[in-house]
Amino acid sequence: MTRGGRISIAVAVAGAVVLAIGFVLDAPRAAAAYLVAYGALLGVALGALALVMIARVTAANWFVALRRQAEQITATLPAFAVLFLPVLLTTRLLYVWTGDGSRLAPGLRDVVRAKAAYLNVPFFTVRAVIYFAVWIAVAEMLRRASLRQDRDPSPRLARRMYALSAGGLVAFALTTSFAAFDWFMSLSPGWYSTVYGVDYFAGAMVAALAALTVVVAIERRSNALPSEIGADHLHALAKLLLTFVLFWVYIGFSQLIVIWSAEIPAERVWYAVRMRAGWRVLGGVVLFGHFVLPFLALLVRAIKRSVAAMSVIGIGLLLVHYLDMYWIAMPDAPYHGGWGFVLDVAAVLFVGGAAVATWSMRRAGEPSLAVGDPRLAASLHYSTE
Amino acid sequence: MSAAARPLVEQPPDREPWPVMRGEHPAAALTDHLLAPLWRSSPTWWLLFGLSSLGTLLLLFTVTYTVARGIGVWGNNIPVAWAFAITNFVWWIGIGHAGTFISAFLILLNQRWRGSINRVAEAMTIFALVNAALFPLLHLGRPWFFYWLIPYPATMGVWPNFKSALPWDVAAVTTYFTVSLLFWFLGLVPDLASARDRAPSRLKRLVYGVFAMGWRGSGFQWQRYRVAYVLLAALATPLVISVHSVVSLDFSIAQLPGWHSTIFPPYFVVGAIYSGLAMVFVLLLPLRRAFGLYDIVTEAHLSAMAKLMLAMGLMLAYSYVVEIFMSWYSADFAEQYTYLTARPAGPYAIAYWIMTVLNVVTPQLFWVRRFRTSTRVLFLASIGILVGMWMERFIIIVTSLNRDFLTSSWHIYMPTWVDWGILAGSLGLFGFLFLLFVRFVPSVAISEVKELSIELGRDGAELAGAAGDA
Repeated sequence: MTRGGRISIAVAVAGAVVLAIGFVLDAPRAAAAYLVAYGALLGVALGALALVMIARVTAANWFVALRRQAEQITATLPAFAVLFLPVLLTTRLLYVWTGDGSRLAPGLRDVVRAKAAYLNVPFFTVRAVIYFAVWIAVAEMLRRASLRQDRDPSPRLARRMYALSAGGLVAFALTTSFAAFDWFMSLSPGWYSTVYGVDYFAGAMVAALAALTVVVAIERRSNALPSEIGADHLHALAKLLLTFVLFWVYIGFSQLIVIWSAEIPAERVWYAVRMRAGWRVLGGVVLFGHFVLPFLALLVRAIKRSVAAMSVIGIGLLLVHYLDMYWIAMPDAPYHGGWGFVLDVAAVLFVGGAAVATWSMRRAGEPSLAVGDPRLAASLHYSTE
Repeated sequence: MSAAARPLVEQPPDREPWPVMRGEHPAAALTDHLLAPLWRSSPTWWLLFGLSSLGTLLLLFTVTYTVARGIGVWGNNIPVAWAFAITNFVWWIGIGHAGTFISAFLILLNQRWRGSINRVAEAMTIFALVNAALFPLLHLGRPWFFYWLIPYPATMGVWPNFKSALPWDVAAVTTYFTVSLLFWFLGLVPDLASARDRAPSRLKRLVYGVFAMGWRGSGFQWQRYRVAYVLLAALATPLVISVHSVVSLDFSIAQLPGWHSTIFPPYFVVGAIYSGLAMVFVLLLPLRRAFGLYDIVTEAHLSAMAKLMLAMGLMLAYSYVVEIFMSWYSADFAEQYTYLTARPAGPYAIAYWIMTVLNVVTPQLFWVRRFRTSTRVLFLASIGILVGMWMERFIIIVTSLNRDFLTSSWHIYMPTWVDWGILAGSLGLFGFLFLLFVRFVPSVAISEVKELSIELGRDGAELAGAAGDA
C-alpha cells in the first residue's frame, strides 16, 4: 500500500467517525450530507467510464496514452456499490416518498401515491442493484481486456473492447439517467424533468475530466508517466474539458429556460427553492465556478498546456462539482445549516477517502500505460498542432 | 497530425479497414476529374432538372395561391394552428444541420475524411435553410410584414416580443444562414479559382474569376485562408447547437403536454443532425455514382457517417424512452394521456408508429458493418429516416394541439391539397437548387482532396482508415 493509500484510509476513517457521531445526533442531516457527497464522487467514476467507452468507439488516438489512468478511476465502481449501502439503509430519512405519506402535503400525497409502482423501497433497491451490476460489469470487463492486452496485443482484445464500449454506452446512458432520477430527482417526488439524466451526465463528465487532469498532473510530477505525455495531451484533455463545461451549462440552461418560461407550479417549485436566500448565492457560485471561470480560462492556449494551471482548474472544478451536487440535491433533502456543514465535510472525506484508497490499491502494480495497444506509439507522439 | 508521428506497425483492429482515398491520383488528374461536371451535362441531369423544375413550379403556384387567398387554404385551424408548415420548417431546418456539423465539428476534431463530403453537405445546408425560411414567412399570413419580426427603430413603436421564442428563431436562423453561406463560400474560393483557370470559354472564366476573388494560391494567401477557415468553423460550431435548440423552445416553453419538456433542446439538435446525415446520404450516394467518385468517397466515409447516424438514432431513441417514462412518472393526467394514449392509439397512431419504427429500428442496421457500406441499404435507410423525422415533427406538433386539456375543443386536422403541394414543391425546389449546384460549382472540395492525396502518398499508413482518426 502506498503512502497516499494509507493517508486516504486514515482520512476515510476520520470522516466515518465524525459521520457516525452525526448519525447519532442528527440522522436525517447526516444521511443528506452522505447522499450529496456520494452523488458528486460517484459522478467522477461514472464519467470516467463514459470517457473510456467514448474514446474507444471514436478510436481517439490521443487518449490511448491516458487510457490507463481513466480506467483506474473506473476501478472504484465496486467500492461505490458498497458505499451505496448507507444510502439504501437511510431511504426512509432521505426520501419523503417512503412511508405512508403522512409527511407529505395533501396535494403531493396523491401524486406520490400515483407513482407508488415506481417509487417504493424494494423496487428502488432492485434498480440500484441493476445499475451497479451494469456499471461494474462493463468497467471490469473493459479493464480486464485492457490489462490483458498489455501482455497479449492480439487484435481480438481490441475488437472486444470496441464492441463492449459500443454496447456499454447504450446500457450506461439508460442506467445512469435512471439512477439520477431515482437517487436525486426523487428527493422532490412531485417534480420531474426529462433532461435531468443528461444534466447529471454532463456534470459527471466535467468531474471525470477534471479528475483525470489532476491524476495526469500528479503522475507527471512524480515522473510516473513517460516524458512524451506532456503539453499536447494536456491540451487535448483541456479542450475536451472546455467542451463539457459548455455542454454542462447548455443542458442546465435548457432545463432552466423551459421551466422558467412555462411557469407550471409543479415544476417551478424546484427552482423557486433554489433561487431563494442562500441557495441563490450557492447557485451563483456554481454558475461562476463551473462555467464562467473555467470557460474563460480554458480559452487560453497557454493555460491549456500548463501542468500547474490545469491542476488548479482540475481541483477547482472538482470542488465546484460537489457544490453543484449540493445545490441540486440538498434543498430537497433533510437539510439545515449550522453545524451540519461538519457532516458535509466528513461525508466528503469518508466517501472520497474510501474511493481514493480503492483507486490506489487497485492500480498498484499495473503498468501506467496501455503498453499493448498498437496505437500507443502514435498516441505518445500526438500533437495538437 | 505531426510529421514526427511514426507510421503504425500494423493496422489497429478497431479501426475500419478501408482507406479514405483509393489509388494514386496526380493532382492535375484529380482537378480535371472533379471539375468535369462543370463543363458538360448529361441527359440524366437534364431529366432530373426538368422534374425538379416542375416541382419548383408547383411550389410557386401553391405559394402564390396561399398568399392570394390567405392561409385558410391550408388545413390548419384552431386548435391545430400549426401543422404542415411548421412541420416542414422544423424538418428542413433540421436537415440543414448536418452540413455545418460535418464541416465545422469535424474540422475541429481533426477528422480529415470530411474533405470528400463536406461540400455536398454544406450546399445541402444552404438549400435546406432556404426552404425552411419559406414556411414561417408564409405562415405569417401577410408575409410582406415579415420585417415586423426584426427589432428596427419603428416609428409605430411596434417591437417584437422578446419573451417569445419566435423572434429568437428569426435571429438564430438568419445568423445560421449567414455563417453557413460564408463558410461554404470561403471553402469554395480555391476551387473556384481552379475552375477559373480551366474554364473552356471566356464567359465562364470571367464568372468563376469574379467569384474566385483574385485567388492565386500563394503561400501567404493559404496561410491567411487557413486561419480564417478554422476561425469560422469555431464560430459555426455553437450555431449547430443553438439553432435547433431555439427551434425546440418554440414548443417547449409552452405549457402544452407533448411540447413542454426540458429535454427538447438537446433532443431536437440530435434529431436535426440525424435527419441531416440521412439527407447527405440521399444526395451523396447518387452523386458518387454519377460522377464516379468511388476513389474519393470510399467505404470509410460511408461507414463513419453510418456510425454517426447510429449514434444520433440511439440518442433520439433515448429521448423517446425518457419522455414516455417521464410522462407516466409525472402523474399528470394530461401528460400521460398525450404520451401513453393519444400518440400511440389516437387518430394519428399510424404516423406515430411509422415514426417509431423508422427512427428507432432503422439505424440499428448500422451495428452491422456490411450494412454500413452497402449503398442500397444506406440509401433506403436514409429515406426511411427522413420520412420518420418528418413524422416526428408532425406528431409533436399536431397530436399535442389537436387534443389538449379541453375535450370540447378537440379537433381532427387534415391537410389540404395545398399543404401537400407546398411540401412536394419544397422538395422540388431543393432538388432544383442542388442540381444547379452540382452543375456549376465543384461538388467536392478539390483543394482538400488534393492535399489529402499528397499526404496519403507521404505517410499512407498513418492516414489509412482515418475514419476514426482523432
